[in-house]
Amino acid sequence: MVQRKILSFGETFEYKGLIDAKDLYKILNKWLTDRGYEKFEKLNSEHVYPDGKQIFLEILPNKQVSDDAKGVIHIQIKMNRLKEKVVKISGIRKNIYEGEVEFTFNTYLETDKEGAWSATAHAFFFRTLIDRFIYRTYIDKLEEQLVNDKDELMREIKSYLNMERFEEL
Amino acid sequence: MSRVIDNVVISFKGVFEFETLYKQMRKWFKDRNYVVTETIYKDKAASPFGHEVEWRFNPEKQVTQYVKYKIEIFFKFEHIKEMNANIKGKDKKVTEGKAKLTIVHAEVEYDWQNKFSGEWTSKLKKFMHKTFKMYYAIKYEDPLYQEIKDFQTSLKKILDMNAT
Repeated sequence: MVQRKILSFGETFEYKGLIDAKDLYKILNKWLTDRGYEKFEKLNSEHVYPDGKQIFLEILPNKQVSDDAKGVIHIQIKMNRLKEKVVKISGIRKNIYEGEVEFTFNTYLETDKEGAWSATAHAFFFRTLIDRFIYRTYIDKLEEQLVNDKDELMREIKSYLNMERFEEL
Repeated sequence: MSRVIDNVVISFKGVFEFETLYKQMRKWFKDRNYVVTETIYKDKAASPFGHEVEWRFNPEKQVTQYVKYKIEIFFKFEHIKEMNANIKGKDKKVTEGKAKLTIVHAEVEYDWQNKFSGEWTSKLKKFMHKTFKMYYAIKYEDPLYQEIKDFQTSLKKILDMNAT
């Protein structure tokens, strides 16, 4: 059984205003690819309702940080009440959306993929000892790296949402 | 068997091209040498809210004499109604409704011909997979994972979804 250590849970931020969903998705993809994350899209939902479009994304980018450990950043993006607007960006007309977006980030480190170290009580005990006393610095570094990546991604998305200046037509 | 992907969902509610989706999806698998078996095709008509359609596909590909790719896909369409629309200046027949596309699982089946089923050969197979685990993962599992990701992207493009 996979051993999962939750490093951060439920970190959320919201945004209300103009948003280019396609562009945001491209930026997210590029960031993940540049840092060696394998993007896994668990759920992609797009529904049209009378009060606007609703997009819900659940992405689990993961990175094999060592033979036995995999870091996962679980991202949920909920876009509600999206309505199309025409804006001008650098003099060029573009169709984007206006609405509400909520981002939620969870980060965890998965180890022991095949359950070899949790098959028996002895194996689990030795594994815990090794992780705590021998590999401790190494595991701590992996965890720190993962949390830093998650923080960097959040900053990247926030700066994209704040720095985009649109002129509404 | 090695399961590469489990339960990936694309959900869409709006206007899309139903026939194009079906044809493009079959073409996608045919171009990659998959044999597609349609295990379920249901069409419940004549409801006041629209049709309800279900498809279940099992595409399979014999990669080598030892390795086979097996995928299971389930499509469910609810409240679908056909209508005419003008898209980019052209009159087209489109469908309005709700679509839920689930890639139930994608897996790599090793020894699909059961050649390693004897007492000694099964031990040999176990040893092979334990020793060359990374080799099998890189050579067979990663390409299947990439193919499923490409398939997911192509479905989103057909539905003209924003997060593509």
